[in-house]
This record gives sequence, structure tokens and C-alpha cells, in this order.
Amino acid sequence: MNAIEINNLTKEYKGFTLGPISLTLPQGCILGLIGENGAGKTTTIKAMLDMNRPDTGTIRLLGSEISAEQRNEIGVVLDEVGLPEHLNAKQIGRIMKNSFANWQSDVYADYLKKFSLPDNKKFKTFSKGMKMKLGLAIALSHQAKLLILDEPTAGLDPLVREELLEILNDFTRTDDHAILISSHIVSDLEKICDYIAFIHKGKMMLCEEKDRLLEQYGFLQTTEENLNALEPDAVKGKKITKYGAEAIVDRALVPATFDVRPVTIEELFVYMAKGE
Amino acid sequence: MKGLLCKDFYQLCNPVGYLVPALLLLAGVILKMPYLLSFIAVYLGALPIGMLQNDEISRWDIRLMTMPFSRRTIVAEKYLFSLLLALIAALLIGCGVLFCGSAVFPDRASAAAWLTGALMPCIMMPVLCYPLSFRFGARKANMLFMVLMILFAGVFSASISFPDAVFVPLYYPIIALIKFFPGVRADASAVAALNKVLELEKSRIILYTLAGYAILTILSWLLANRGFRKRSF
Repeated sequence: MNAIEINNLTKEYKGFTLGPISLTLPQGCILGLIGENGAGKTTTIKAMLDMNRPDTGTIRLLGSEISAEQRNEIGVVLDEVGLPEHLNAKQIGRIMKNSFANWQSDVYADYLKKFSLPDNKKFKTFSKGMKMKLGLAIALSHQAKLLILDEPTAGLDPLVREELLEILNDFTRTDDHAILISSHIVSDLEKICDYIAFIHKGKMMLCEEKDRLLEQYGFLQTTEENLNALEPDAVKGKKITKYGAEAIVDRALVPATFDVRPVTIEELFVYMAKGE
Repeated sequence: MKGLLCKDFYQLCNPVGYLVPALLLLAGVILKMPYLLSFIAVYLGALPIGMLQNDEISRWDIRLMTMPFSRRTIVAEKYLFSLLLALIAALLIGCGVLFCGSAVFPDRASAAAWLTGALMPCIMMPVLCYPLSFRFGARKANMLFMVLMILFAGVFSASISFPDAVFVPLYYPIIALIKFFPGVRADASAVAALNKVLELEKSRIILYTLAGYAILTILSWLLANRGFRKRSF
């Protein structure tokens, strides 16, 4: 059973069309959804959670269509944590205990301690990092099998980001757990993701295993003439400057005489998006 | 639903939440002014609507969509919460009426009938606001509601000042409803019809009012469910 299966999802808004989006996330894996601001990452996530109705396509989470009961097994942290400002962590814990069927109060308390979150201070007094940590504590305290995180590291300092990424990595050590994490901070995703999906202007550019992407593509710096001499299919995105040309190339289609260096996911995305 | 009710009651439990109804109760009893007691119903009727707005500001309404509640449950909880607030209002106002005693109300029946009418804001404000809030969002709904209330107040005032004016027919459905009451002549004017209704036995007025509340609440609930089903976040 796949954790997430999306087939030909489309959603049309005035001036923006999302899709068609198709992606699959196997259990035990982490999928990074990368895209610039306004690419459609949050819209895709909201469609998964039935917060908006897609125009076409099918979405299956944990093997079935989304339902209220199924959300017991899905932990969600959106970019705005969305908790009542006048309540404290203890009260929020009680609310969640009465909401989620598999709520574990002891696990929640442990996370509050681990994240050094006070349980008697109002949520509005928390910093952005603390709010995100509380959101994550909630998501991890009801035996969720799937975590969906929308820009969880945005606005966080490097220490907190590192801490969060470690926790997410630990989460997928259990075989039937999976994470979908969307971000435009690609360096974070590159550290932990097994699969990478690029969304650019509402279109899915690719959805592949990270290691395969890094093996398949490389970064080439050469002259414009040399670049133009390559097969068109070999060049996935390029930038021409007065000093030369830089391009993301398919290693298999580039002669061995060219010096192709390893590429980062960030470079891959930037050049592919520019090439569109 | 327990979690949702828990959250709403936690939000209610703050000093202002207790203070306002308590002060109104005290003032109404000491000064023997029942209309001050009726403001308890206004306050508790407006409270859930204000809380819906706060939910939007804090993005709790979006978080709700990630929790194991169906849209139906979310709507039902709000109506249940409003009903519980109406019961609290009835209890507080009822205590106030008891303390006011015969100085203000000649008999128990009049007091009970007055109490039923005084609860109107507590029932009607959510009933009118919820369908709009669930369909368009609380902030848009509040603006729409204010515009409608201003229009209604304007038309109502103008129709009193100019009874023969062209918009009097807007009141025909209400007048027709009043004329269904037994003993009210079909050709009676609106004022005469209303006076006739008020002459009925108090128990009948209470019964008809509560039935009216129930019917309007059910209609509102059906509309709210329908609107919320269509809403995107």
C-alpha cells in the first residue's frame, strides 16, 4: 500500500491552473515537494486533505480516499499552525485528546519536554519556532502513519531546523510511516528526502527518487557553442552569461569528454524551472 | 465533537466571559430592569459568532479540516454550542426574573413568556449568521449580516413612518404568519394582528415561540451544512 497516490489531479482558479499532478509516495519514505512561492504546493496539499475539491483526478491516502476517520492516522502541520491563541499547550493537549482516537498524552508530554515548550503559557506568546514545534508535537502524538508538512521549516533558525529534520528522519524508521514535506528551502529537503517532486507554475516537472536524480543529472559549465552542439534532449535547463554557459544535463546523453560535475537538487530545480 | 466543545468552552472561560453576564444580571436585578437581563441573551448570542471570527484569524478553521471531524460534525458542534449558551442564558435570565419578582412581572406566566422572547437574540443571531459564516467565512458573513440588518432597520423605520409606502409588502409574509394564529382575523392590520397574538394564553405564546425557534434552527442548520459542503479553504 502506498502512503499517497495522486493521479491526474487538476484544480483551476482564476489566473492559475494546477495540474495535472500525479505522484506516488511509498510507505517508509519521505517525499519532498519543491516549488517556488505560488507554485501550487499548498493547493496540492489542501486537495489531499479535502480542503478544496479538485476538478479532476483521484487522491488516495493510506490506501483509501480521505475521510474524517482516516485523519486520525494523518498528522498535518501547515505553514500556519492554527491553534487558538488564548489557550496553552496543556489545554490544547486536552482538546486533541478528545479529538483524536489514538491520542497519546504521555507522548505529547514527552515532546513538550523535548522541545522545551511551556505547558502553561498561552500560544500567542510562543515564537514562530515554538509554534511549529507544538504543531509537530501534536502531529506526532496520535500514532499517525503519514505526516504532511507544509513549509514546516520556513522562518526557523538553523538549529531548530536541524532538530526538526532529525525528528522527521526518526519518524520514518518505522516501516509503515511516510512523510510528505513541502518547502522552497531545498537544502533541508535534500538532507532527508527519498523522493523529490518539482512543481513549477502549477505543473509537475518531475517526481523521482532523489538518488536517481543525482545520478542521472549533472552540472556542466562550458561555452555556448559547445552547449548548442549537444543533443537537445540532453539539456534540461541552461543559463547563458557573457562568461559562458551553465546547464543541467542528462549524463547519459553527454559525451564523456565533457566535465560534468555532481548537481544539487537546488540547482536541478532552479535550472529546470528557468528552462521552462 | 467532544474536542470541539472542549475548545469552545475553554475559550469561553476567561474573565470577560464571566464578568459581562454577571454584571448584567446584577444590574438587572438591583435596578429591577428586565431589559438589562435581556442583554445577557444578546451577549451570549453574539459570542459564538465572535468566536468564529477568532477561529478564522487564528486559522483554527483550517486546522479543523486536518482533524478527524467531518464538515457535518463541525457545523453540528457550533449549533450545539449555541444551544448550550442559550440554556445558560435562560438559566441566568430566569434567575434574574425570579429575583425581580412580582415588582416587574405580574405572574409567572408573563415572566415565562417574557423570558422566551428575551432569548430571541441568543437563538436568532447564530441561526441567521451561521449559514452565511459557514458558506462565506465569518468575516465576510459578519459584513453581510450588518448590511442586511442596516437595510432591515431602515426599511422597518421607514415603513412605520410611511405605512402606505411601496415596501410595506416586504412585511406581508410576517403578517400572513401572524394571521395564522387562532382568533386573528384574516383582514386584520399588522398591529391589530400582533395585539391579538399578545392576548393569547401565555403558554401558547411560549409554545409557538419555541416551535418557531426550533423550525428556524433546523432550517438554518440545513442551510449551513449545504453551504459548508461547498466551501473551499
